[in-house]
Amino acid sequence: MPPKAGTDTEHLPIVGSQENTSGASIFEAYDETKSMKQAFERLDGFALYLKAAPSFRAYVISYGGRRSCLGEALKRARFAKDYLSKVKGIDQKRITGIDGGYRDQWAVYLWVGARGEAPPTPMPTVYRRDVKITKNCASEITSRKRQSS
Amino acid sequence: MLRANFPVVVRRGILFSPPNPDQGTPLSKAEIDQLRTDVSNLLKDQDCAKFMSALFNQLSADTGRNAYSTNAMDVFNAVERQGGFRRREGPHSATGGSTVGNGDAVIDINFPILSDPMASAMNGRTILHELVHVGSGSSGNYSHYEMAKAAYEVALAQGYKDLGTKPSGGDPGGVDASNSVFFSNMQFKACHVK
Repeated sequence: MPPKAGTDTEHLPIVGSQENTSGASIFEAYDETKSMKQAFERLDGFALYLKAAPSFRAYVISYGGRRSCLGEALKRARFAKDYLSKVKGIDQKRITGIDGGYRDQWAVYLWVGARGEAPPTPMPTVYRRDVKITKNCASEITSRKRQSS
Repeated sequence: MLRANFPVVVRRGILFSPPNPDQGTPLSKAEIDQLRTDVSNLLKDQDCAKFMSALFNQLSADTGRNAYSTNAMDVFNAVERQGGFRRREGPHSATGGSTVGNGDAVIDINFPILSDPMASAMNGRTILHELVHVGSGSSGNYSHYEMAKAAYEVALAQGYKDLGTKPSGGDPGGVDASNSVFFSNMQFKACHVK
């Protein structure tokens, strides 16, 4: 059995079709190898795209790493969602934050989908039992927020 | 609004969705040129070009249906000559119909065409996704399940890490969002803004 993602995902109905559709698409992603500047470049580009495609929905799938803080993935998802809505003006009803579970390293994937497309399914690759929870990440997340403003 | 509801017909033994003449407006030359730029910019990255070429080879070997070409730009140009690229409003970002082997491959899009580098890269990946669907040199297209399995094998062979579990359990057919998402995750590892 593959590892499971978090459970706080909002699901949209899957619309059936016999055609070969692309499904939701990855706009971009950032992880611990990316600088803060690169992360914000991706969020800014995502906001630009969402403004050009007002009927499309945004999904922020956030994964914790093998060494994670309590609730880290959700905090990163919430941070991205808040930045897109409060700073960039995207209606927060269009944005779904998803706790994707765990991967080798933490990562935030920015997905976009047309209105009839199913939300992207998280793809965790590491079991919770193999993750070391180290500390609370609140200060780290908020420090990134402070530097963005 | 009255909308024609075209049936899915069996053609040469495969499920085939015929192009719907009541839907879809041909893209302008400028729009097609931007999509071509989106795809070719991705393929300028050797990681992406190598991944896509190997993917077509893997699909040919796995399915027994040979790809029209292992160069995605060849497939792009064939689609342009055949059914073409169209804008079609609807519930999906993009849709591929038929195959290059059938001679009437078509790709419909429903997303904004932008030159911003990240938007361009995403649109390029979406077009590549559809080019793979229709890129068979025979009458049967490549399903999401086939694409996901092949992408996993290629990513593994090319040394990409953190791949998750190889898709298994058979081809569910239909939209198959799960394998579509899996494919996108594999493709993104090789084809993204660096």
